Amino acid sequence: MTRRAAMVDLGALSTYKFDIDSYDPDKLGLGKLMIQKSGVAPSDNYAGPFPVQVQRPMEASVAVPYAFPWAMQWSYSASSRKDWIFAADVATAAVTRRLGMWEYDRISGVPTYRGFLTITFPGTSEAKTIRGLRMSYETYSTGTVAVAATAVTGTSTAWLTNRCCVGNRIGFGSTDPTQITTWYEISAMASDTGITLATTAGTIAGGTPYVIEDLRAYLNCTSVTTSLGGIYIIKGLNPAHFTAIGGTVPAATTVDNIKASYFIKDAATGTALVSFGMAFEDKVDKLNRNIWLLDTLANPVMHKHNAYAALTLTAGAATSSFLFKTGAGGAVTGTVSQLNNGRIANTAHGPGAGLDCIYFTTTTRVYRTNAVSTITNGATNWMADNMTEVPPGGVNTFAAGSGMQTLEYSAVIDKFVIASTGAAGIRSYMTQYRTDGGQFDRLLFADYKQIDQGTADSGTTPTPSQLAAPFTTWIEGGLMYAMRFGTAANVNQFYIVPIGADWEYITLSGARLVMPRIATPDAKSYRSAFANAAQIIGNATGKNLGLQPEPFRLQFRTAGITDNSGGWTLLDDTNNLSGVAGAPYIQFRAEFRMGNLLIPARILNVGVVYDDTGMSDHWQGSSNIGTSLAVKQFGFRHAVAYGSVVPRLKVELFDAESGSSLGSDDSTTQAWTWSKSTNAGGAWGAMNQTDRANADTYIRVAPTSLADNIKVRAVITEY
Amino acid sequence: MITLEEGQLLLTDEAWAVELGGEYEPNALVECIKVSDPSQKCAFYALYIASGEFPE
Repeated sequence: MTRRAAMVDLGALSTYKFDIDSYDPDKLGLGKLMIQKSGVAPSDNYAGPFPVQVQRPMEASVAVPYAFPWAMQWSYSASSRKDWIFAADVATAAVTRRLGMWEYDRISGVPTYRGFLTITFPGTSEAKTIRGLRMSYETYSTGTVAVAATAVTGTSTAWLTNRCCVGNRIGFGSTDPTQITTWYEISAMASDTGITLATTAGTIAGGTPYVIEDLRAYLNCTSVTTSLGGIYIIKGLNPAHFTAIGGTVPAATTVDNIKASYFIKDAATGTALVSFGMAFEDKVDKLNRNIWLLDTLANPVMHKHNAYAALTLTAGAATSSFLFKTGAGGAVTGTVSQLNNGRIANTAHGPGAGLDCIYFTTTTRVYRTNAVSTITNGATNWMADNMTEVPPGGVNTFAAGSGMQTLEYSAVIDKFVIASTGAAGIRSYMTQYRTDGGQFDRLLFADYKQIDQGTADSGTTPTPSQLAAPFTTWIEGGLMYAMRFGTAANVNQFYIVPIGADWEYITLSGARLVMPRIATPDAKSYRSAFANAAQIIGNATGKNLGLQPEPFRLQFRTAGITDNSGGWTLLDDTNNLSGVAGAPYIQFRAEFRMGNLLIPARILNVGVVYDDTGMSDHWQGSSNIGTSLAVKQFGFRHAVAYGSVVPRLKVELFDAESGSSLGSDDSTTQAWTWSKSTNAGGAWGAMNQTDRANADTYIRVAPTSLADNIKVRAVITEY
Repeated sequence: MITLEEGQLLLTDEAWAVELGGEYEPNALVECIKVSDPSQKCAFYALYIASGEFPE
């Protein structure tokens, strides 16, 4: 037999996407959050989770310190996989606030900053501080349209009724936004069937499908005049409003559903004086969607509004969205954070499993409300339970820092991200919600102190180091959008991290690579697998500023490859495959860890070492002596002596075309007929274990039966 | 104080015009109407209408 190796290099393979394309055993399968990259340097050709990306808002042409990210997957198809990310201006309080927008391309793994817009608020001109941000995105495509220049006439449309907004964008030819190539801004909406465009769309025949994207922002603000604190809705948005020099949103006055900012409050003089977060339920329909405002730090109350309500306006403010206000839910332990606090989560675990509950954090605890559907006007019993801070390993392993600041929930991995101040080594967490006093699941963020400014040494690689600044996060489709809450250039970075790619969350995230199958012709047994990966990303010499990526692990299968039905076996760190029988193909898949510096592994190639079914080095096939087509027997010349007795030998016959085994026998069992000659076939005697006598030593083996008219490859090996 | 005239267009966005002229503090909200659709009204800072800048 011969020991062989086979491998596949990553970087330029044909690929398929798990949840979009069909499985193909000969292509590289990219699970969610996976990407293949190619480049000039050998180590630039790899596959793995999306590389960490960093954006530096404070280094843009107009510097804005952003935090409180909110993200959505705008498209997810074979040709377009784009996320939209929005974030709020957290600069020192001022009369205007800015809102930023990015796009992240899940095909290229590259983010793009679209720009920002500046919001003018209704009411008294005074400084406001943004405490939270949510967005809503709805499409409306009922009916059809005809277009003549800027005039759009609808058939069976109900644009006003459904509260589409002036300023939103409309596209023609499809009801699917991702199929629209040219968008037009709506400049007026006179009726349910009449829209005016800001620019001409030419002539479009009646009966054409269309789609309107209704994009809105919801800012939780506190204001110098505390009664002006609460929720401000920014209506009539579309991506074109976000520019490098800054778009503008005016204050609303008396007209609803135009591009403007609106103040919604609970009374003529609002009572949300010190709000600290929001929680947004899923929509009921285009006219109804509940948003909860969390207010009053020490003994919280909640205000419930219909975010999609028609607004009856006075000087840009309305109470018509207000549904009710709870009573105080009780004193909380710790200090409530005002960093984008509050999330609605319907977890698959814990006491809130299967329920839409609001979660919010204080410095020392995470609180859960009862299911929001059960919370009523004036209720004081709406807080259900809470989770105390118990770090992984317990408080004697890591200190409970009492610095929890922000909270986010990822349905993809069914975990909460709880980010802390980072001060004095206080750690952040990723965890389930539990009320039994047990430990949090794991730590998040390693404080490497690297700050990743744009002028940082080029030998570094970005890593979302904790620093002494809390991260505000949003997780969408397994990607964590993490923005440092800081107002200076050295503490205001925006990281995009494939946190859901961690192998612990694989059953939920599906974030793995499936390698193309590797042909292992004539494989008798496998020895080991191997995979090479980038060891250091960045400089590995000199000042050694490069950093080591996270680990990965391999699984393999040798059956069920063609139809993707085979089960997988996990390999340990030795990658040992001893004992695994040979097969025509072997296939690997890789899973990744995301737990330390959050720099994903980059796999360069993967391969296998195996022993084939080839001849023993002591024997040679004989084409004449001992071999006879007529009687179907196979001769072998004893080429190299063993130096001892001849061990038990095995002869196996293979179909030379298909490689399949036709049967085997061994020299001890001798179910077939074995003979030996020491004079080049002059005389044949019984098979024995005597070592090679001379250059004329041969054996021959005749199987009990063998089909006619087939091509046979005979192989002799030590048993 | 900033003097704005009725019908004055915004410096940076001529789609909007001042509804009521007068003397305004820079950070006063001034109602404007959309030139192409007077049913649409909103408010900009006087400073922004005149200069494109926002008050501090």
